[in-house]
Amino acid sequence: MNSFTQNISIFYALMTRDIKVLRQRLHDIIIDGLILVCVTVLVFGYLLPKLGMPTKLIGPIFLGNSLSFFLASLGYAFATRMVYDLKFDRFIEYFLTLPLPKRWLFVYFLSSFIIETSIVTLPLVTFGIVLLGDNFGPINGSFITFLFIYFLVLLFWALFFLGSSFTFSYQWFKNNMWARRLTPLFMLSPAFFTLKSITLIVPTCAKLMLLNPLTYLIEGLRSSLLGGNDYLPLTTCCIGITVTLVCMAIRLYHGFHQQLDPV
Amino acid sequence: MISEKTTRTLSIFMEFLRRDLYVYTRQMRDHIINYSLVYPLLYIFCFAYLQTQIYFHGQTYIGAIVFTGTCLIPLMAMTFHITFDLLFDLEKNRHTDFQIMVLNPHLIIIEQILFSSLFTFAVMIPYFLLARIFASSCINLEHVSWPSLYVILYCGSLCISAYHKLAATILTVKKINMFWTRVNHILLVLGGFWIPLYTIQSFSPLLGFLLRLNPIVYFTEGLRQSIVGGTQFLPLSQCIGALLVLTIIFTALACYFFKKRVDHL
Repeated sequence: MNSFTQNISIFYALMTRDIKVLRQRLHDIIIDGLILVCVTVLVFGYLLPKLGMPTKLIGPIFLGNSLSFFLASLGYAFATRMVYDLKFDRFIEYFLTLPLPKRWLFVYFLSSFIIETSIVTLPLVTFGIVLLGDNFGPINGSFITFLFIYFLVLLFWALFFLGSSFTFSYQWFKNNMWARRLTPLFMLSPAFFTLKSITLIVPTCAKLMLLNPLTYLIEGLRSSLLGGNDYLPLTTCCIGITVTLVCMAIRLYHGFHQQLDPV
Repeated sequence: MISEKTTRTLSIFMEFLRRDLYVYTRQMRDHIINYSLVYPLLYIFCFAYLQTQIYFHGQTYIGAIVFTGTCLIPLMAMTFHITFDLLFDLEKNRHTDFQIMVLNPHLIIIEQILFSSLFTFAVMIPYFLLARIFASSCINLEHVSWPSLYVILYCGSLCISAYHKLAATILTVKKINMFWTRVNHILLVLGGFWIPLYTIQSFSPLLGFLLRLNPIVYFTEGLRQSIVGGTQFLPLSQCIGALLVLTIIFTALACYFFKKRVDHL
């Protein structure tokens, strides 16, 4: 049995290694992010309003759809690497042989994703808001609350993608992940609209969307930064996100045992 | 008279087509569920129904213009899925090594592009039929010219298959994510996924002019011409012509790079 200090030192060594790898990839990831942000700002900030989209939706859509899509893309790339490794390279076996408890390994994988993603996305989100300027709309919320919800959102995506990479086979993941998991998650959530605007048109569907975890994440981001009564209350979002996180953690735990611990 | 060599080449070409059909038919159920049902139904709900009501206040004409381009994602994902198997093969199994022993590399590429375009076209057939059934009250589909819609759909499948095959002969597996973000995402979103060319031209004439170099634009403009119609979109003949010319260019380049990659002599 390792002492806490020994675990910390191994954990620290792993994180240092990841930061080193990230430093080499950072350039590419930031270019990819800049492209996504610029294209999104152009389409949602300027072109869709020309076709008649209400400008008051620009800010909520940027936070809800564009940011979440960016996080999902990064998460998908992370999960693809993991799924590929589980099928072919099996570098995971090196991690399993480390004198580190499995719970620490989970925390390591999650922290690695959260650190990488926040380093890349936070500056890009700020850049996107600056680019949108007045079109983004008034910011009546609190940055501290936004950062807290943002952390929960990152944790959700980390748990979701890590869990998916352990739950699904390589072939299934490659063929069906976007079509059967990510696309329904986005399309059946208020990513492109606000929940309030959906409620006005199809109240039943809006209620059903409350079963989708992305609803709480997206509305939580909007509610925390933009403020006002147009979004789900922050308390409801926090409760929804917490329940989702617990479900995702259980899924990850079972997936991990199913994939790597046949005993 | 057809020479014996040509007959043999043709028969091998047909055998490879049959082989591809056999391989992909085994995954057919998944593809039909994903690309012929899941994507269309979700997009109809989100982009035809909700988007028309919330963004455009129920204007069915604008709804139809915007919804038309959304078939790009399943179509591009499908062609990518089929054409990029060549890249995975080149980096791992090298089934291609066997194929080039019995058939000219150029014909292998042509066969794979042809198969990918036909398969994608078949999977995409229900997309607009489902929209007609489920979304005719929220997007205006009264003026659809079905024959020209399916002609442009096939030409688009062919052109995008050739384009993806070209990418598969040039890229490495590690660069796939980058390829989607830096190339496909831009081509797709600025190629008329939501926004028609005339809106982009009115926003920035320079950007509108530059987008004429984007092959996807001809596909979406052709689709909008077949579904909505009107002088604001590019003429159908121009779209079909451009897609066929681009297919030839992409195929020629794919043949060149494929030969260069597999033949060291």
